[in-house]
Amino acid sequence: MTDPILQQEVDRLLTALAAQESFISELGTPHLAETEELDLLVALGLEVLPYLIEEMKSESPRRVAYVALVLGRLGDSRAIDPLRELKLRYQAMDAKSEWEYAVIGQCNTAIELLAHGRT
Amino acid sequence: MRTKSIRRDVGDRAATPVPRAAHIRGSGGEGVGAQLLELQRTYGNHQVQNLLKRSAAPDRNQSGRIDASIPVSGEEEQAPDIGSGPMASLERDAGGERAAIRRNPGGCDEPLSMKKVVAGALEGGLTMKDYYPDLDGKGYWQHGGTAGAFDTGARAGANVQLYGTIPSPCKPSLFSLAQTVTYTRAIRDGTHHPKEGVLQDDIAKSGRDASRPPFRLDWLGGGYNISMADPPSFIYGPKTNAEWDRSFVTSLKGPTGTKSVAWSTSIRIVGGAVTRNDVA
Repeated sequence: MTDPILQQEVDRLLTALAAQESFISELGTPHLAETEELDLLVALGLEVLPYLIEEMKSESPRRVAYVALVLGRLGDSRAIDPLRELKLRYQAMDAKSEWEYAVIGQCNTAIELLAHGRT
Repeated sequence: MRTKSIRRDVGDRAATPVPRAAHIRGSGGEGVGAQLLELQRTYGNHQVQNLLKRSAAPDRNQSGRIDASIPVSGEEEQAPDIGSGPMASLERDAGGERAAIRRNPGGCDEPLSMKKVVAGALEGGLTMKDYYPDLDGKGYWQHGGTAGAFDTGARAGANVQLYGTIPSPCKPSLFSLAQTVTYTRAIRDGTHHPKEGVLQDDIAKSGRDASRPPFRLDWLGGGYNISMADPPSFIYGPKTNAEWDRSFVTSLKGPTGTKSVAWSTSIRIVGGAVTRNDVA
């Protein structure tokens, strides 16, 4: 069942996160910002899982990268398969930008965390 | 085995990052045939043919030409005893194209060495653009052909090249790159980063494919060299204060052994001014 208020909150927090400056970069890929919005999104808990999985369809790789990060931190292994599909979709892209690489990287980290409990 | 010596003038730099066969000169050419086969398998015949045709800038400080000795197709070759080591599979995979391969007395179990380039020209005639074509012109680095610290006025960082060397007759695909990073001191505007002190798998997090170009670029010279590069950086503004130290360990892993090299960066920013930007 859809909770429009919760969905709106997920949208608001993801929009705020995607607007954040990434100030660290390694291996040509920007790192995601660790902000209050990120903590708030994780704190919403597993109820946001379906909204986050829906957000994987977003055309903004910045937004999708944060989705993958949050899914890893939520700790529910049901997200593993959607994360694998997301990773494959981005890997198949030609001429990827650094933010599209960031999506793949966040998928790698989240899958490892959910599957093996480590990053 | 007889070989044919090839010498080509260096033409334009490769538009796409293919490995540069700098200084391909096997003694008697034994290892080179196998390496070319391996390069064809990894990068495709077309890329390797382009490589041999263009052979961009193997060493810009020297003559601007490369020397290569490759097996002459159709001429007599004797298939040596290659045993059951990694090269045996290469011989089988070659499917009738008999590469002249000699068992490497040093073995193919582990790399010979792993090195860092933190100052001066990048090895193999490579540039940061070759490793990161998607970032070209986006301000992720300065002086892309040389290693060392840079400061664009908005981003402080350093170009670093890491490369391992394996015995030239060994199968390159048996060797893989890895890198970890630890933020040993990570404070920005008074706030400690949550990953401070945490060992992280840098390559996994990057989302880049470390098994192939452009991330991994190989070249021949003093052995078979397998390389990557990293331009770690920190974006700052007019009011930023930061203490940002990172320790990296980059490794080349073979079937049973690994060679690693440690390197680090240290950045200090006070009131938007970079007061330290070191790489070692």
